[in-house]
Amino acid sequence: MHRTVHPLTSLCFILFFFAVALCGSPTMQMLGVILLLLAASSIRKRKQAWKKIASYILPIGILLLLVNSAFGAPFARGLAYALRFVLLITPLVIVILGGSPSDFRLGLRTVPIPSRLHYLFIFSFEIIQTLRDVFQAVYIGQQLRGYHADRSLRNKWKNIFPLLLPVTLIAISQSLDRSLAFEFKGIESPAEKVYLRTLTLSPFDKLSIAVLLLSSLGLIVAGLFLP
Amino acid sequence: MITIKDLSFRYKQSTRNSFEHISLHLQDGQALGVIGPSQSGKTTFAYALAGLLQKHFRGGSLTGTVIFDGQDQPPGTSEIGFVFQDASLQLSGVTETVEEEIAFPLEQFGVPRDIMRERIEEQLSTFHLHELRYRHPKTLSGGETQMLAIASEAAKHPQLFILDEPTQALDTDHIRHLIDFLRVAKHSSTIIFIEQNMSATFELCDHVLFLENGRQQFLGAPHDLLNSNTDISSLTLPELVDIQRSLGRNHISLLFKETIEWMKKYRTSA
Repeated sequence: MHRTVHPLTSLCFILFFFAVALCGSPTMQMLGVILLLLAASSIRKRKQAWKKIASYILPIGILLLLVNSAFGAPFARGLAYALRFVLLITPLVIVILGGSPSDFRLGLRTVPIPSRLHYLFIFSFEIIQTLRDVFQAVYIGQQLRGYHADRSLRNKWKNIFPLLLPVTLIAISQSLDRSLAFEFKGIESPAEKVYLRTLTLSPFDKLSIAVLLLSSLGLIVAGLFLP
Repeated sequence: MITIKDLSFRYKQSTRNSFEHISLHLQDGQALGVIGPSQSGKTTFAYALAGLLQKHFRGGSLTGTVIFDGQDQPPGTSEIGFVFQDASLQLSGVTETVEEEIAFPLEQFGVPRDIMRERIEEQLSTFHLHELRYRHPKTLSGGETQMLAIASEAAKHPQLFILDEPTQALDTDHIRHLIDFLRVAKHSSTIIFIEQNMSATFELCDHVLFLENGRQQFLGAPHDLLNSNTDISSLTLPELVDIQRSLGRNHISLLFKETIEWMKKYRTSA
């Protein structure tokens, strides 16, 4: 996955493995896990992906298998739970580490959803950073005025509460200013948006989406109607 | 062309007017400097011109009229450029490079892509932001952020350009770039320049509106303000003016060369 992948393709990739996890047979689920491990090995941040899989996903999967066995469930059922867990979580790790936030943002522009929704989505990540900056500024300001944050965890939490009020007030006052500024940036403009840069669906994306959607649909139908 | 008649505003639950009985007439291509100490109603006056008071502060009481080119409605937001005091709050927060931030309002107003590209180049060059083109807006310094906020609004080519204390985070070079840009922009935009920096205001503006406690103390050419009986002790004047005032000159000049000549004569006569 060294190529730029459109967010829609990523979404279909996740959807496909969800379908495998929930509707596929045990053999299919095993194949799905092998496919996922291959996908994890092909992304740019493969070391990070393997680290996540080895340190969180596989141990939890094995734990699920062991707990089921310990409570007397058949091995096959325990294995099915473990495989499902791996199939549901690993695609998210691959998509997050395999794509870049920038591609995701650019790709989102071509998806037919109101622009406000996608700004809201991106801004919801930004707002965490903004609140962190405001908190840091208030924290430093209060320290200069004699505020002392205790090292003990219990007291630290107790002492942080007085900081929450100024942080909230600053965030509220900033949100008014931001909304006024956004108005002049044309956020409410009824004109059709023209983007400087977008990420359009490549032939690879189109083909992948078609294959993944059809396969997912096939699995769902098979899971619902076949014995 | 802007005509303001007896404009006053009071915020909800406030005991006094933020500004009152302001009347003025501004031709296209003119720059109005709004000056005065803090809390004198400058920003609120700018909000009134941009139509923000009518829209967002409905509990307040706005009286008087503002006529824009014969219309009693302010132009649309695509026609107004507004640079707020805190430039960091003006960044969209959804862009990853300086050029994308400049393009952001153009994208929203549906400006065609080729024109958008031209305007980005124009703003990068005007505000000397070429080197920062691919930098993330959040990594810029205060002055650079201020310039970016101005460039982003200027890219709209607004009819009415309102700048609220735009020089406060800028160094001397950036102030010079900004003044040079606004001098050119004046040909196609009406500029409202709210400032504490009198040197920049006097250099750029055709008229100054001096507000104190919301009251119009003076309206006219900068040169006339300095030579009028208006009490300007609350203003931080340029050194050039301060020197002339302290030496008791009757006719204060804003021209450097003329002042130097006068000082030479003053020294000889003294």
